[in-house]
Amino acid sequence: MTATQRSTLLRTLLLSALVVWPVLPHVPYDFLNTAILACDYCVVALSLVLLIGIVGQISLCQAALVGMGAFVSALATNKAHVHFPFTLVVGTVAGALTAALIGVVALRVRGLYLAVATLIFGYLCDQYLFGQTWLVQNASGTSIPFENIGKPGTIPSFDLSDAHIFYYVALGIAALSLYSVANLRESRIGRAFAAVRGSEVAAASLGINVVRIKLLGFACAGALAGLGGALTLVGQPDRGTGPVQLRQVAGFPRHRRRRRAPESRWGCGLLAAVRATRWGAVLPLANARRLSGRHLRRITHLSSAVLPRRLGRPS
Amino acid sequence: MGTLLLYIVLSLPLVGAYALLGLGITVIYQASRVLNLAHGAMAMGGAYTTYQMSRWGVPLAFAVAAGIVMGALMGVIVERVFVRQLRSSGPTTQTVGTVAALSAAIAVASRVWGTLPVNAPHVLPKGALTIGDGFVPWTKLGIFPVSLVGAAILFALFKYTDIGLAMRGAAQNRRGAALRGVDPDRTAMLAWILGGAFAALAGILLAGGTGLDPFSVSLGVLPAFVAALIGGLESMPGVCLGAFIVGTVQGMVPALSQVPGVGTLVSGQGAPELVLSVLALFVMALRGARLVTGDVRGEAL
Repeated sequence: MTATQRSTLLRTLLLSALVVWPVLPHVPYDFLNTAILACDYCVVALSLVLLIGIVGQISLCQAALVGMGAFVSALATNKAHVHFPFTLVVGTVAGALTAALIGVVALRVRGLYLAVATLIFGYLCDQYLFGQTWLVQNASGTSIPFENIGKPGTIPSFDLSDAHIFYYVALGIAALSLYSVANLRESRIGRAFAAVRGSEVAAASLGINVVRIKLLGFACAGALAGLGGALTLVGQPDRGTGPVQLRQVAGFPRHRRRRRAPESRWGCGLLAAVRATRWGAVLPLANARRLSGRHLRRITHLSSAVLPRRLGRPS
Repeated sequence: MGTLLLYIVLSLPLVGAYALLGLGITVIYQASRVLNLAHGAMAMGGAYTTYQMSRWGVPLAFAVAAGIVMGALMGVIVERVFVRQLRSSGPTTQTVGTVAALSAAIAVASRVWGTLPVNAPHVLPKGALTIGDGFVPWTKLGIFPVSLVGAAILFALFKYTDIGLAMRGAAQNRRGAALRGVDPDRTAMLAWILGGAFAALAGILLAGGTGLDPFSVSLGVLPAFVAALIGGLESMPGVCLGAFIVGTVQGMVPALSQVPGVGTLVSGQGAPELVLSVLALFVMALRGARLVTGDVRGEAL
């Protein structure tokens, strides 16, 4: 068996396991919720893979974009009666527009200054924007009713409050995001992203519109983060999406420039998500569900810095 | 007029705190070209150490000294674990590494002391300065003269001592300094110790006036970064000027809520932070260079 065949077999087995395991008997319900969270985080982590790894821009405010996606989609559900799956579109657009706004700042500042600018934007969202009742609706956070696809008792009808059903929805969206990011890298836009990442001046000399590409990169990454936020809200509508849960930065893959950049590999997004949820499973049992978002981000930061070489080795 | 004066005086504690913190950030940046986003963690670590020591009955002077030592120690840890290990990846990655240190420190403090605010010991004398109908407690106002003394010490250290000269030289050219017999790692470490100690001092003084919890001190440091950015991250007088601008803006925003027209914009929760963030982004947009390729019309897509 060649290496390619072995790899294909392994991927097929992995995919089959991901699809089959929830219907096996005696699967704990908490495992299912953790798996849903892993899918949500996978989408968010992919937004960072795209922005940091492929476009070469840094962002310390990705959780703010997740928050924008969640809050705006909740607003659309509660005020304009927009329902799933259209709330995902609303969240995606909200994240993309907000990120494009940050991209405008990125046109003037780079490197260290860009990191601080995005951090300050995250701080602004946390301290001001996510405290405004016109956006968040309630000081303690926002929530939406449970969603259904179709009418109960008819076919097709999917009750998204059932974790088994929502797991497959979240898995499908995460897989679609993975597929999109993996293919984007090889597309014309992806090559333009890579050129801008390598050298802005060189990219411009090749006829690439750097301004447009940078804005597009931020918007695409923001769209994924917003999608992750909207998905998180639909998955856990009873808990609500409080500002506290969306503080600071979501876990991001390591940023290295030597050889082939590992953070540009979609596998990093998966690893970050799996790592985050794995740690979530061993968090102190008492309030793990309520506090998991905040703790997981911290732990992911720590492991990102302490265990740099374990994330996506260059091939 | 009395009200305006009161608001200006009320701003002075913020100015002092941001100057102390901003100076620490600048010292670290000068020595290692890393923007230490874990500065708040060092402030928090120092404040919690002082709080814990005073709970154990240790005299206040020793508790404060222990807090400052803890800040310096945290500086050493962050430099060794998060910054030196990531040197090959560049300053931006090192800066992101300090975010990890900040997050880890907040998590540890939350675990040990909980997330509820605690009453930190008052280091500065009690009593208050009365201005018109209002008053400003010395526990807050005292931060300003302390910061002036701190700034003077740092300035003298960098300007007039051999070690200050070595630190500046190593920051500008590591290899050149090494050729002249200066150990750049040692000067960087010293800068982190100094920065950590100053952060801890600011944290101890701030916590005495406002209370202490893992988030307010560690995340409240962000305005100090704006002050440091205004000062250009290189100049100590510039940082002090930046701290004055940021502190005054933040202190004066509540006063603006009484101005017709502007009031609705700047009143409500998070208004000072909104003004400050806009100011920071404006400063960075001014300081950042427009893309050299901004006018190039490409047809790649």
